[in-house]
Amino acid sequence: MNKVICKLAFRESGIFAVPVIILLIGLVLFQQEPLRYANVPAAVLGMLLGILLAWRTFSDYGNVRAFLFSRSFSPKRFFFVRWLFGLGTIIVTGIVLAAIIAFGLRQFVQQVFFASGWYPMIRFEELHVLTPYILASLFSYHSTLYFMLVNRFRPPVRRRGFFLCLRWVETLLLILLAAVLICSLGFAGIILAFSSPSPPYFLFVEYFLYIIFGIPILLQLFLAPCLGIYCYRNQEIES
Amino acid sequence: MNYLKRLMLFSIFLPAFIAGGVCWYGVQVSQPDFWNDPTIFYGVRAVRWAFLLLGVFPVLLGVWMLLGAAWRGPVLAAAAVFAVLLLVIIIAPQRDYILPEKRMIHFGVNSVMPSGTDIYCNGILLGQSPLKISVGELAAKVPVCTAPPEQRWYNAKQRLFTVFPWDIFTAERYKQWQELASANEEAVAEKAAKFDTESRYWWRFEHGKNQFCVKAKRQTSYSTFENALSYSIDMDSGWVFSPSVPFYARLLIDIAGELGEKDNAAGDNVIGDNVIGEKADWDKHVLKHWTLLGDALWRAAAYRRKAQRMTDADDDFRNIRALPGETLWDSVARLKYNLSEPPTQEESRRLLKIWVESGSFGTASSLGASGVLYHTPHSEEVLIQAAAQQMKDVIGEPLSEQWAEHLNGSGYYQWNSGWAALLYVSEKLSQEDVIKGKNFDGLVRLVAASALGEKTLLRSSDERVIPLFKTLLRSPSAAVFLGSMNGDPSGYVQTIQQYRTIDNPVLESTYRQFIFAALSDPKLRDNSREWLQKTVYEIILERLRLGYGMRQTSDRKSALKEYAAWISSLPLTSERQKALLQYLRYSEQMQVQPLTLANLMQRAAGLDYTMETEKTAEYVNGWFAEHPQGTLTEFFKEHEGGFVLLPRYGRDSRRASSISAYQCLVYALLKIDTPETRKTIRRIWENDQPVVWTMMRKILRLDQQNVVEEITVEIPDFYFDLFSTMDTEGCLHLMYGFTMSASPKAGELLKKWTQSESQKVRESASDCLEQWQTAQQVREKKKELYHDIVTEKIGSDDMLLPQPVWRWNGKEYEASGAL
Repeated sequence: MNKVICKLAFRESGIFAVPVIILLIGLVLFQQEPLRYANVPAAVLGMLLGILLAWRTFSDYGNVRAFLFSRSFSPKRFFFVRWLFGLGTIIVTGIVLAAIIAFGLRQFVQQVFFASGWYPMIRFEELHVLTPYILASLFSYHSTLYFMLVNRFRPPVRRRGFFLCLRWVETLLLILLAAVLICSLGFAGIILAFSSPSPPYFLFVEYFLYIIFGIPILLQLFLAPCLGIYCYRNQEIES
Repeated sequence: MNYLKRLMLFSIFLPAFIAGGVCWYGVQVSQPDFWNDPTIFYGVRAVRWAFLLLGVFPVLLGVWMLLGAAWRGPVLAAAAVFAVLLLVIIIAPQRDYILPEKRMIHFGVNSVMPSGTDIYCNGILLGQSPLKISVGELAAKVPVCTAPPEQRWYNAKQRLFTVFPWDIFTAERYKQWQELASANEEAVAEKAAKFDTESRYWWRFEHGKNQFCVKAKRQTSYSTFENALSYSIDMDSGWVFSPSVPFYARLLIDIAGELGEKDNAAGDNVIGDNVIGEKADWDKHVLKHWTLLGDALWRAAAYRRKAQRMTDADDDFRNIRALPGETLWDSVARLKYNLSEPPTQEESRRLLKIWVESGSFGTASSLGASGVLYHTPHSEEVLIQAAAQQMKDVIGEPLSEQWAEHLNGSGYYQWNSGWAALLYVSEKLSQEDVIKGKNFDGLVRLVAASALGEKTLLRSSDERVIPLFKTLLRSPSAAVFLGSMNGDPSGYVQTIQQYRTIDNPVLESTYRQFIFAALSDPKLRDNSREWLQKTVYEIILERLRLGYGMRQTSDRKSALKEYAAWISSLPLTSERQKALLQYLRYSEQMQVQPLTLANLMQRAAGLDYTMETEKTAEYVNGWFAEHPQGTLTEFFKEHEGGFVLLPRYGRDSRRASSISAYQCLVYALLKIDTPETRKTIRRIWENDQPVVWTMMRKILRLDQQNVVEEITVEIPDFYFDLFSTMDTEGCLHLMYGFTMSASPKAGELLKKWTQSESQKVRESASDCLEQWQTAQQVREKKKELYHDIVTEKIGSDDMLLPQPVWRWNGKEYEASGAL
């Protein structure tokens, strides 16, 4: 049964997630500049992966929902497996990226195709690129998951059409505001770090990122399954 | 369910809740001055606002969310607060965010007003600089002045005061001042005096025995965004209340040049029998009265230095050469700082430590082209620099590559900052700590992670640095190279400039190949190619001058040959190629020194000009020895477009044949007074007189200014032999300048010219002879006066003539007492 759930999840999200994963692999293989902890493309792609996984895996539309909840397995398992599927995809992708770097495939490609002079000295140093990927992907995965779950419980719009649009606009605007708020405060430290010659902030900005985003991620790893299981149980009851 | 939702929501916004506070805390811990910023918004300090907005407020939002708010609520609240802030800051710039009584007046320490200056307001001592006082505190401490006070020195025309009117830190007076400043110039001049005398606060600054004379400056700003008024007070030299101080200083400087000479190469212009004493006595006297005289001394030295025969190409007043082979201030600095000759390692480190810890110098970033010292008055700067010069050989550690880069500056010749780099050898820069001790692999990893230490890495002799360098040469941003694909050479220029200071024999050929490839790129358009060629030419010239690319080679001849072959292969204009090849030929004689602090300091102080000038003179002597009938014109023709003598005059090949190159060459010959150069000068004189005597006249500064300023001109007797062969017109141009020569030969020549056949010459010579004799008498009197001063028969106070006092008569200031 777990296999079926995973297969279903993959069918829903694969078509979106796989290209992003390919892009990530391509970034790691072919970026000529050394991979650093402050790698924006890695962070953006990681964020995209997290959002797509959460959105596609957990957005069960009408007929799909009816099918799913008619099955005899528990909603707890249903949610849990899908959640682990998303998490697993992110982690496995991270492992693949790490393997590409650590086992020298990136080095091989860079030296053969680009005659890069950085290797082999920075081969393992480049593993730091996993920092933005992991933090961005896990954080965005759980954040999107939350909104997917919460959306289920909002009262249905009484009047459709205009008011539904209004709700979407309102939601989007507020999400945008929240994103701006988070980004501007969260990255202020990085901006300060890069602009200040002394002390050398770059030495510990990475740890700063781990604190700022790592603590929420740890919380989310605990809270997300609890919330999801609860939502799914109540979903069934309501439906 | 709700609590789960809230917790989950809280975790999503947690970065926003804590990031601001963490950043704020990090900045505060690493930049402690942040806490001292007194900017105030609505009566609350800006630092507290930052703490509230970035630290407390986000946390409160998080708590609110936890307690039950839907996520929209806190997000909307945050957005609303920031929107309001935006409106307040951007749209309402004119509002006054600073309570009037909270405005801070800050008297800093700067190059004119040293630390420890007493600051008086309306006769009440407020404290010593640096000083900060709010307007409210000032009002409480100091009663308002109802009438302009007495002035010890006053100049209405220049608006010079010894007790300075300044009260525009109040909105009302500032408004009046603005109206005044917006009037036309004539109206301003008329109303300024009245405006000044209506001031309620009058300021006086004293340091030691000296009262500063303050000149009002027009610029000021009363910004609503600044916590303090910024007002430029243009301080005069500070000794104006006694105008005899400059005379005192000039006397001392003039005498310094006559206290006995060392290392005199010519051998026939040694002055004296030393009746006026030793340099040591001069040093003691000057140091004893440094507070009174320091500033005036360096100004007098700067001025007189220009008149001396041995002027350097760089008008650096700090290197006055009253005694050839030693600067004027060296011995004074040694006396002041208790240094040996040369200073020991321990003495040097002790001094460096004191200077750095005293906060006397700006940060690395502030030491740009000007090398400005922010907290040291000029007089102190003179002695510190003199001491630093002597220490340079002691603190001979290899510089960090960053500082080697800094010495060369962002431009080509940033000499002024060089000496200050000496200080940073001992100061621990955080970047230094990060790079230090790393091996090649470690450095590569550091550079990959942060781009820090790149220059250090590129100076490694590890062979692995070659492919790395090639990678770096390719790695400017895609946009830059995309540009180059369209014919824009910006990427090439940027890269070539970025790595122009890399002096590593392992990488030299790679760098040259890159330059060749850049110049040969067929995609470049004509005008872009010209720009690239010009930039590359200047960079190569600079590198040649600094010896980059040839410094570390054992077989110098082969290296030069290789360099010449490479230059010949470059697709440059023939003019530029010739110039570079000529310089290469010339630099064959140059002794390129390793890149250590010592020789970089030398370059920074301009002392390498001496070295280059010697080589120049040697080269020219050699040429004229081979061409006895040669003229300067023929010399330059043979070296057409290519003779690079001194950096100031040789960078542009077009200048090589200009008058500046002539001047440069003659200057080199005049400066290096050896029997060989005298032979050369005599040859040039005989074959090319009109050119030479014009140059010599200019360089020897035989002009009226010396007479007006009573500046003694040193002219070696050798030149008088040449001058005696001059024709009528030549005599007339030179003799006026002789009046300030101390040499008896000047008098003899003037006497000879009084017997000339030309009436014009006779009359001029008679006048000049009389002036010369008067000048000689004045010189003797000065020596006697100096002797009396240094033996304390006359006190320094006796040298300060009394000045009239200026009193306000209800309408204007008038002098009372002796003038």
